[in-house]
Amino acid sequence: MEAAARARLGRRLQEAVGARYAFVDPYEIRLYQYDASPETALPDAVVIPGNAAEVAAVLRICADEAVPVVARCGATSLAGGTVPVEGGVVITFPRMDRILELDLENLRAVVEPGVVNLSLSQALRPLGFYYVPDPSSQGACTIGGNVGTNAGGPHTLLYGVTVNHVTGLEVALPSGELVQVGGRKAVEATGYDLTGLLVGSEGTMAVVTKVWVKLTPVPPVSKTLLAIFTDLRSASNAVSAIVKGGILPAAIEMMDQLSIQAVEAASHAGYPLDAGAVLLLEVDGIPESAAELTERMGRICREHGAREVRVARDEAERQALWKGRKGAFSAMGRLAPDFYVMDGVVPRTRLPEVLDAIGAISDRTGFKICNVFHAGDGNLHPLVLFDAFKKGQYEAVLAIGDEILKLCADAGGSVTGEHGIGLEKRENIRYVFDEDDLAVMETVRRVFDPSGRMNPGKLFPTGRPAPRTEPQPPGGRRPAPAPAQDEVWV
Amino acid sequence: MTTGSTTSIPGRQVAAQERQGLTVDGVIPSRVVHPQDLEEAAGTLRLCAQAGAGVVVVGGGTQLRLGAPPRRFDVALVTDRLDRLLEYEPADLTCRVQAGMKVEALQAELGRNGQWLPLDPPSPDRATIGGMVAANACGPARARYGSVRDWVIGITVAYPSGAIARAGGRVVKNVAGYDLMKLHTGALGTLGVILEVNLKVQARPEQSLTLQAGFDRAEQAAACALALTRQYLQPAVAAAVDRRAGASLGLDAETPFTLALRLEGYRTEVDAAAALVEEAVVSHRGRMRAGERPAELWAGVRDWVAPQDPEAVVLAAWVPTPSGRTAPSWQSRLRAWCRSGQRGPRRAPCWRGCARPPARRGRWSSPARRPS
Ligand SMILES: Cc1cc2nc3c(=O)[nH]c(=O)nc-3n(C[C@H](O)[C@H](O)[C@H](O)COP(=O)(O)OP(=O)(O)OC[C@H]3O[C@@H](n4cnc5c(N)ncnc54)[C@H](O)[C@@H]3O)c2cc1C
Repeated sequence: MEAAARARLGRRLQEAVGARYAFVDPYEIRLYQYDASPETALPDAVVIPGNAAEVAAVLRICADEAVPVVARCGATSLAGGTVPVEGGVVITFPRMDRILELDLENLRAVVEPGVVNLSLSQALRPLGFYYVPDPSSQGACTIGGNVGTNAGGPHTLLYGVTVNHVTGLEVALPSGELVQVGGRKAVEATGYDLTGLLVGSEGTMAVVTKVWVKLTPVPPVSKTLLAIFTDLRSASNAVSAIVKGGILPAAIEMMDQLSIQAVEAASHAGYPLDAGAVLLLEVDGIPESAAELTERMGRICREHGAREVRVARDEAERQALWKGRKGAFSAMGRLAPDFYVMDGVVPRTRLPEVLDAIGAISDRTGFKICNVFHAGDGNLHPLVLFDAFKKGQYEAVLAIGDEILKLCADAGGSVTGEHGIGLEKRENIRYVFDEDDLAVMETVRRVFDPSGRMNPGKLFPTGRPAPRTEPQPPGGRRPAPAPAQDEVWV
Repeated sequence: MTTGSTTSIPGRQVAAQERQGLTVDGVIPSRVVHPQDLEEAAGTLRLCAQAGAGVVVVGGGTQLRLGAPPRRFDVALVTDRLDRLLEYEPADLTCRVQAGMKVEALQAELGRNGQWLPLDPPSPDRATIGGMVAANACGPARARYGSVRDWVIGITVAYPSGAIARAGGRVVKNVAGYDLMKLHTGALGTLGVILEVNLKVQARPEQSLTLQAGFDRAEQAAACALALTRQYLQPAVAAAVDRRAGASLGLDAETPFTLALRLEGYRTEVDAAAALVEEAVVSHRGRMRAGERPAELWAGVRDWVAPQDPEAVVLAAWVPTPSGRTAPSWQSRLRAWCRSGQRGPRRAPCWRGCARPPARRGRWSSPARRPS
């Protein structure tokens, strides 16, 4: 964008939201060029609206100036969802972080998009309720971003993902109109379920300004088990056996040996360092049913080769196990300077063979690949470890990622279970959808966004590979050289 | 199917004896097509689009009265020949079904593996999977198990252009592309013809138990049902029934009001829930009623559309489960009903009452239209 046009845009945005909350200064906008993915791109302007009306006003200005709009909440997207690849205005929501209403009678809350996921559940717990979807990033990601990506999490196995817990949205359309779809009621009417359509649309149709979410009573007890296996295959088989056996656990998470070592080093939760794989299993219920199911799941694990099954004795032990799991991605920093996380899904029964194939890719390419994932619903998160400062490694890792996604698609699965297509996988989406499928989606998108200005360059293939930025620390070189890998994980 | 030139309307003439089953809001189509595969269905749509013909999709014909009357209705596209279960892997808890498969037929297949689709739309012997999705048809257990949108993981749709496009997929967790399953759920076939549906399924509950309690006053029955909704172990279905409606459901109505409760889950949970129910009933001045559950009670509640007897009321309160599903609209309606002290809406079950598009809203007390 030309300097004069950008300055005019900045002025108009400042008029709409106040001088402090809109900026175009190259220094100030730098922060908004990246999210939790490796890609970066600078926006033309950044705006921090204080309420829905201001969001709508911003969208009207953007329509007028014909510039792209990128909504950004917690910016924990792992798919480059908030990276403004085509420039334009980044709208961000730190000021819209209020819980507007708690309606315990009807089990609903109304929140602004900037409310941090965990803080909603923290506000509810003392009242005996919680908000179920719990992405591992829940301390940083927001309800708005969760709606953007239809976020999942460990406990979505039994209770469903974001879309199953959102009953209404207020959105600002690209034209600048503010509209409400759905609302407090359960979604039960005939008519187009626009709430369901907009959840997971990654900011490509509208900007979410308000969210109606369901509240769930906290279960009387949650029992957590750690089942320790010598290899991944027997752990995977145990998962299928549990699910098929009529048990509906609240969560089934799996970690392989490499992940266990990283997690244990970081969290000291008591994960066994020599195990080939562990399952973290949880059931919710009343004391009687939880005790019985814990016993049944333990038995199934043992029948499938678990060498040991531990039950968390108290809440502290349980929290420690979960802290280890939820901190798994960050713990990878102990194994290698960089990691690249994938998000494939396969039918549960295909887990053993797909994990074997990923192991084979690792052996062939020499890159270590960790697996820490939502096994209950077949949602894999292979983490490829690498060092971005070693020439050629980043490209090699991207090629591995591509191969793994193809593998998942060919196994009857999907290229993303919860992180979204974003920028990262916009070409990989072709592994699961053909031209006709994508054409219909594009038609639907144009109903909302005829000029294609909402988060452009995301979700749909462009024919061009996603622009790749070599990861760069701000100061140039990495401060200390990465230790040799062998030293780290023994 | 006979196809003439590109502008002629596909299908064959509707025979006299077919007319009644294909009539929608009094409008009778001139032609009918029973496609036997995806391509034929899509081809039919393309020809209809070229000829400017109006198409209505007919599944089991149980919900054809939903929505505004058709402005044009030239061709009935009947899905009865698309009735196969295409894939089913019990250990994955997923299946892929053709749209014309009957809900009951699918349940029977799943039942062989101790599984089910936990949705209970009315008339499952006639209703089709595609129709259930298009009409967003749910039953009284919706509060416990969620509605159609919670179980559909993939969809294949033919569009008027003749294109066949998919969305979602075969896995239980998937955010690739737009969630067009939601758009077609409840769309009444206005966007395209649903040809295949991919579903999540679940293990059948270990145990199911029906309890009945008698109450003298409606408020007591309602308050008891609502109190149970606050518990962790809520019933899967709770139906508050007055004497006349009770009689038509086969309930032995000694008291003016009966609360029928269906408890489902693991054995231990059902036992504990039963104890909680007894406490709640007593504290709301009701009495537990022993006796057999009428064989057709739950099917009767599920299929309840309009009472034969216009004075009768059937109410079903459903209650949130740990999965946080609830029907607040229902609860407030129940409360309003108690407050007003009258007989309440005659076409009571809100899982259908709410399923009215705006054109038909606000007709709660008008004479109910019977299901076709
Ligand atoms: C360590 C780590 C662990 C993670 N674990 C999980 C996990 O377990 N499960 C999971 O699902 N994800 C996980 N993620 C990914 C990420 O946290 C989720 O995608 C999350 O939903 C993003 O929320 P956010 O607030 O950070 O959104 P952002 O990253 O800011 O945005 C995400 C997307 O939503 C769009 N968006 C944001 N705000 C709005 C709005 N107001 N209106 C419309 N669109 C909007 C954006 O344009 C973007 O496309 C993890 C990420 C990290 C870094």
